[in-house]
Formats: sequence, C-alpha cells, structure tokens
Amino acid sequence: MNTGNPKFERDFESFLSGGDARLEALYRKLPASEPDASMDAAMQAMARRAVATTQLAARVPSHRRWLPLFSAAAVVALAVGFAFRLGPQLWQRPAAVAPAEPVSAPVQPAAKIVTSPQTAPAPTALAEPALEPPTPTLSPAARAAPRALQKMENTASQELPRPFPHSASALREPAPPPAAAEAKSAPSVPSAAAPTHARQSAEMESAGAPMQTLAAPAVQDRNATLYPEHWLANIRQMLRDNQREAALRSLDEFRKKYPDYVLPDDLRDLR
Amino acid sequence: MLDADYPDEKLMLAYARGDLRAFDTLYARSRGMLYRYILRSVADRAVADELFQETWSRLIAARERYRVEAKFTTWLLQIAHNLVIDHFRRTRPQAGVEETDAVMRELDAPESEWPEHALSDFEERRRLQLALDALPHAQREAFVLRMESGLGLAEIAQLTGTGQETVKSRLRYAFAKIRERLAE
Repeated sequence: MNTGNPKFERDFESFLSGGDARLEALYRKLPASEPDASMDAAMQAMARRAVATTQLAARVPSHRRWLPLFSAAAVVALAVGFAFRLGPQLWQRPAAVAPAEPVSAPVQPAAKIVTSPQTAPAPTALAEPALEPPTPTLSPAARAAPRALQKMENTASQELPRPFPHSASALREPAPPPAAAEAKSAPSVPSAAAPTHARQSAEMESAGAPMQTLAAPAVQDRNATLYPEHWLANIRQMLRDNQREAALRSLDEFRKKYPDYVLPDDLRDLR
Repeated sequence: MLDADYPDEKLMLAYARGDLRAFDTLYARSRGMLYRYILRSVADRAVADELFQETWSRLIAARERYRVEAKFTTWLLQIAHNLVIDHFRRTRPQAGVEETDAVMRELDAPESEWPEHALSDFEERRRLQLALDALPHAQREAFVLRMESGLGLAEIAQLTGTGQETVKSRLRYAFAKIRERLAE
C-alpha cells in the first residue's frame, strides 16, 4: 500500500526505524499490564517441577547404563567362583597321584622294569580309547586334562610300590631278568598293573616249581635286600624247609650286615 | 538472579541444563513484554492470562530443544503468537484484506487533519488504546511487536511466519489507522 502522501511516507519510515519518538512515548504511557504475582509464582513453580522431573528421569537412564556393566561383573565373579570351586577337584587328582613317586623309591627292581620307557606308553595307548569323549564346550586345555590325568594314573598304578613280600614264597622268588620282565609286561597292561607278588606266585605255581628247588645263593642275595625282621623270618622258613646250610649261610650274612642286631633266641645260638 | 547483561539466549541454555536462577532472570526480563503483547493481541485479561501461562508452559517443555538460531525474544513471542492465532481461530475470523483496504482508504486523510492541538495525556492514551483495539489482529500484532519488543521487519516476519513485505504492509495500515484515530 502506498498512500502517495510524502509526509505519511516519511513518518512511516521514521516509525519503522524507531524515530517516531512521539508515538513511542505515547505507547509507553499505556497501562503497563503485567501478570499478577500468583501467575509469576505458578510459572516459576512449573519451571522447577520440570527441572526436578528431568533430573529424576535422568537418574534412571544412568542406572540403566551401569546395569550391563554390573551384569558383566557379576557373570565374571560367578565364573571365578566356579573356577575356584571346581579347580581343586581337577588339580587334586594329579596332586594325589604325585606322592606315589617318593614311595616308589624302595620298590624292587622288578617293579621298576615294568615301568620302563618301553612299556610305559602301552597303558596310555590302551587307556585312551576307554576315556569318555570330551564335551564340546571344553577348551583344548580342558580336553587334554583328562588324558593327562589318565596317563598319570596309569603311570602311577605301575609305579605304585608292591606290597612288601611278607610271605616266604614271595621272598624266594628270584628277580626276573629285565628282558623277561619286558616280555611279560608288554602284551597286556592289566598284567602289568596287577599286584606283582600275586602274579609271581601264580607264575611259580603254573611252572610247578617247588619252593625247595630255589637256589640258595639267589635267596641269600635276595634276603640281603630285605628288612632284618623279614630276613630272619626267611631264615626260619629255610630251617623249616630243611635247608639248614642255606639258612646258616644266610644267618652269617645277616650277622655281617647287622653286627649290632640282637638276634632272637631261636637263631642266636644256631650254628 | 544472574547478571543483567547476561544474554537471554545463554540464560535459556542454562535453564535447559537445569539452572533455575537462569529461568528466574529470564522470566523477570520477559514477563511484562510477553504479557502486554498477549493482552494487546487478545484484549481480554482472562484470555491473556491463559495464553501467557500456556506460552511459558510450552517454553519449559521445549527447553531442551532450544537452539540459538534466533533471539530468545523472537522465539518466545513466536510461541505466544501461535497461541494467539489459535485463540482467534477458535473465537472469531480475522478481518479480510478487502476490509482492511477499505479502512485504509478512509484513513488517507490530508496532512492538515493530523492533530496539532495538544490533547491531554489521558485523552491521547485513550485514543491510542482505542485505535489498537480497533486494529485487525495481524496489524495490531505487528504494531505491538514493533513497539513493545522493538523487533524489526525481518524478526516480525520470522515470528509470524510471513514475508517482510507483508509485515511492512500491516505496519503501514496500523500506523495510518492510529494516526487517524489520534487526529480525531
């Protein structure tokens, strides 16, 4: 709209540029209406409620942000707890087998032959197929653990010390030559793991060899490796078996080996 | 209350972060201007109270979305403008362009008719108030925004969602009617 009035246009341009002081002054004299105090209080309360609500709502997401971390930590703690609970069961088996080694120190040479390097792999090779297949969830290390355990058990069962030969027949058994021992232990693992003295007795019985036919020097040599009480018991057995000469020789050997040993009455005066 | 020289825009950003002192300062600065704009737009105190409250309510709700893309005053008045427009749409139709042009043709009075004689302050204020009340909403709104908030053509155009030429035309009509009323 253009009024075509130059003075109007000038005044209007002055108004647009803020130069109409008269009109502006008149406008400022109009009643300065304002909201009342209750309106002000209501607005400020509304602003505070909004901020409080936002802050309250902001706390919940922060907790939710931490929730996955807490969950992960709980899972890790649970896993560690299981590891500590189950770990000793896995580690105890080898630990229980391990003490067999020192006990096997005084084992007879025959027993050691059974556990020679040539025969040792055989039990492992035979035992492996009997093992349960590993569960797919186990790690390679965990899958290897049962095999290692089985291997250790087999080895330990072979190295377990033979019970001390209390019976005289067992004591009289001559030590088999290494080659023969290998030949006996190689074909069958269970025979290697069986109690040696029982196996030896069975072999002797199957051979039909009477105990009296055992060579005296061999008995003497063998007696020299026995504990004194067993050696003496052996000597008494020889006396009962009418092997007086052998018994006397063995007693002489005993006296030489244990000069301070107080002999029992029945053997003290034996000549 | 914060420093009086602190810009409105920074106060609004501070309030969006939860600073209630910033809101108090901002409210104290803007309450009168906003209320008068609404009241002079709707000419009804009860409606003005309602729209004033609704304007701040919307500002509070939108505080976290506020971006410094325009003056805070422009943003605040834009919210109020939209509410006023909604109010008028609900209550009465606005004056048409033809009606406004007819009024303007009658107002093309000669320069001699401009009141040279001194009127009392009261009479001048009364006539100005009557002239404002008689203006169509769009012209009154443009005039009030210009006088009350010191907004320029571009800001009023942005606020009201119209072109600058339209705003200039509305202001021209309003200015002419007010001069005519004061000259009576």
